[in-house]
Amino acid sequence: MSGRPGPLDVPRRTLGIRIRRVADGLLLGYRDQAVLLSGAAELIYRLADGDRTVTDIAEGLAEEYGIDPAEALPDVVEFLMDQDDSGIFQW
Amino acid sequence: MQENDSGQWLRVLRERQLIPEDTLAVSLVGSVAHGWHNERSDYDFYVVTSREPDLPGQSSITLPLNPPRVRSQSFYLEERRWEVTYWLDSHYDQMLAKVSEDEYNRGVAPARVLAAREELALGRLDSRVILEGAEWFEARSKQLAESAFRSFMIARSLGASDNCVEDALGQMKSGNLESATLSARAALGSSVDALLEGHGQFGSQSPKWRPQRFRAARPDALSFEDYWALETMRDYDPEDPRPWINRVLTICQDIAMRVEVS
Repeated sequence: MSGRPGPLDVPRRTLGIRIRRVADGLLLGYRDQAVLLSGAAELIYRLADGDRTVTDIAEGLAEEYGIDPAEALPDVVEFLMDQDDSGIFQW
Repeated sequence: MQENDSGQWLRVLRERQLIPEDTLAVSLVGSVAHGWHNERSDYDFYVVTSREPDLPGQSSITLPLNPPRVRSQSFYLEERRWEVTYWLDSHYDQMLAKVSEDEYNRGVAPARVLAAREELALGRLDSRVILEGAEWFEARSKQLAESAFRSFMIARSLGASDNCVEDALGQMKSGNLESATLSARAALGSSVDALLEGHGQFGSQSPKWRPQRFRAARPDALSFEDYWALETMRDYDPEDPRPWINRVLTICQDIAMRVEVS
């Protein structure tokens, strides 16, 4: 995706990424990169199943951390934008 | 023969002089041990000895161990085939050494660490009916729990799944949807094996028992109904296989996120 994802956009984890659950979170191996996701980043990644919208993901994050979904939404958007170059999400 | 009568099994084996004097342990293994058998199922036994047995009519199975074989003996009784495999106690030392924490941390390739029969033998340390040698099993089970056997098996199965997923994606991209379907099926099988191994249900070398192992493991990550719908390709559309393939590959990803390797 180029630009800022909207609330109704639907990200999905890129298929073909090697995933291993380790003690600290999720270790992703993609092309020649290795990324460790933990905490909120891991949750966003797990929720990005290709069915949930960005808003749904923010609601999932809000529920997990006991915060307002409106507060979670910008964090989700920012994380997804940060990962735009990594190739771990598809749109 | 009453299948819950371990004394009866042992008596038959002794009468046929199939239990050597230096025997340390005897177990019933395979489908009968789990209660998954049918009237045509074999009775499979493992006998652990300290020295190689010398039995009339025995055959040998080559393995990457020292000595490089296990002996086996089979016969029929009341139309049922009985097969006895003789493992040496030192074979278990060697197999456990292959899957030690040190070997795992050294980065030994999980796909090559054990031969199929070795994997089966270690998995069966906790999955058998003990006929003799409870202390031997207790000690070996403890060693197995302290080893990296589980990690090796999970890493092997997840690695196999990753390779099949990669194949499926490449085949789908090139329009070879038949091969992509088969690759996705293979990926699912390996991912489910990893999931079950994470629950201590080993035996991936015998995929025919995967549903039984699944029911025994009862994993939270995937219901049996959902698993079986995928395994039997219930929602597969031959006119448009891509949605089914993508769904299977997504499930494989979901499983990888749930199974802790070590």
